[in-house]
Amino acid sequence: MFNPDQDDSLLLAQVEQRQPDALLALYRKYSVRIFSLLYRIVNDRPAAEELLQDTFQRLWQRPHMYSSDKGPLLSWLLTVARNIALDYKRKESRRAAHLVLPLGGDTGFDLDNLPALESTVDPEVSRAIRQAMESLPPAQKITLELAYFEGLTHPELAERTGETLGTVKTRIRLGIRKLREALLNQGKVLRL
Amino acid sequence: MNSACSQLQDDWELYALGSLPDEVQKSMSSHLESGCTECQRRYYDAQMALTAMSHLAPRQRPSANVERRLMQSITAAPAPSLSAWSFWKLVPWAAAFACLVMALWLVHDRKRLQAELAESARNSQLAEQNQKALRDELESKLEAAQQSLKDNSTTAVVSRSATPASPTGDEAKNEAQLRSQLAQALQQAKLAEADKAAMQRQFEQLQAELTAATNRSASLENELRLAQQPSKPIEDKDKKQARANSDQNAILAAELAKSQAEVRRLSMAANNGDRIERLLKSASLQQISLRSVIPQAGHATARALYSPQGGLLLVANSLPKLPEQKCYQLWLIRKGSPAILSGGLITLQDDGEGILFAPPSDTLAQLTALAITDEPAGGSVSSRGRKLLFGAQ
Repeated sequence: MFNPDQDDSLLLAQVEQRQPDALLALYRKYSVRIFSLLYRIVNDRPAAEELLQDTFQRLWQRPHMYSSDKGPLLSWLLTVARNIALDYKRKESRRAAHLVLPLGGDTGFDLDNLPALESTVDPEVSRAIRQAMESLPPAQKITLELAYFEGLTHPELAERTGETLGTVKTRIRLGIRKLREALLNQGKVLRL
Repeated sequence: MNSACSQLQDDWELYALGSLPDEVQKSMSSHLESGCTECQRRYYDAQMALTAMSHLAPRQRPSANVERRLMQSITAAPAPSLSAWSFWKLVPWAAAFACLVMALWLVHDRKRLQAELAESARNSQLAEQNQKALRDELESKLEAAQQSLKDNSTTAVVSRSATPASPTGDEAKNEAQLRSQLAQALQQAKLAEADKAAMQRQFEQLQAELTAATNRSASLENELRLAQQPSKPIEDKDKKQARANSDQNAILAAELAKSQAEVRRLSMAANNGDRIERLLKSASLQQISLRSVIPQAGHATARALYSPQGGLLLVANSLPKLPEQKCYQLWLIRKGSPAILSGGLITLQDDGEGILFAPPSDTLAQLTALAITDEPAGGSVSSRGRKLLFGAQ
């Protein structure tokens, strides 16, 4: 039976042995998911492509940075990609204003207006995640999305939403917990 | 769960998001690495939820070039640790260093030989003094012995003339003792002479070694001078070469950066071209013109083409330049709820022209009007700035 986690660990072991084919296999497996996130954050295709390349180069150069206690490999790669994208975005924002995807008016992001989602893993999971996000109170949803996709710091979030720092942190905490609960309640197994 | 865990339990979501201060992030990483299973479970739960959020990003596929570039970058031969240029630059320095070490060793060796020679000279002098003292002593003993023999002889003659008789046993015994002492003294004198000759030979040998060492030192000093002389022009040449290489690298880097910027610009232009083509081909293409509504907007105008299937393209002209901490933001006004949605930030060029693409959206089917405001850099969730331009269907 195909076990994606087992498969990743084997590929990762081969990456550690400097086998380019193993990295290529991981790239082909996850590049769309990671690139989608990168493009969502920086909204600049050439930049997102460079950041994607950078993410996999880091995996090649320092595969030992990942360990299984950090969760699935994809989660770790997404974390690395998100960090470098947010760094890039902060540097870019100092130079010039940049495009962002539409934000909801009073309620921040309007997920109904985003283009149709396609998951590389399971369309049902994507749908479940969208429904779970919709089930969050609007204030939690906005705060969570601004923190995750825009990388706003707590003070920036407080300024943007007009709330206190404590409220911002609470919204993030509760938002993440409720999102997970909503996904579990929908009976979806999160294959990440 | 220990007290540390209970303090951290509310922060694992913020940790997974990476939004805590660096020192707190590091401290929590250390705690995770300590193997606390309860905290690992909490972190894992938070990370799963955040990873799920990545599904919300619209699906985009990178171009095939990325894969090609990635594979090229990881299969490229590693650069040599020491370039040929660096190697040749090091050669004269290595030679000079070797000569310097050799010269220092020779100086040390010469000092050692000089010390040995001085010691030898002192020993020789002492030996000579001892030999002289011994000779004096022997001569004095010999003289005393001769005198004694003479006295004894005289006494014997007087005695023989009185009572002719052979020498007594005591006299014979004294004479034999004196002869033995004389032979012994002569033997010692001979030995001292031999020691002196040996020391003289050793002295001469050390003198010869010192001369040879001095010659070798002079020769190596010459070689050192010779080695240092050619290293200067080589070094100058290398420096010139390095400067030339550095200049060339800077030129190439500038050209590369320029080319990359151009590729990006062309790529974006091509991307925009595709978007425009899709937009113009869409069946329900509509248009809204925007005009300035307050004097601060000057003579700025804007025009938007949009369709739910093709997205929205807004081109603004003569927009006044904003301070760095401000930006232009487009607002979509529609019939549904919420009535006002952000359409994104407008990229402003030097000539006051601003362009914005918004992706296809059902919101565009309900669009009734557009507005442009000035907002804090990075944009606002809800409009707080001045309404500068407005246009309705």
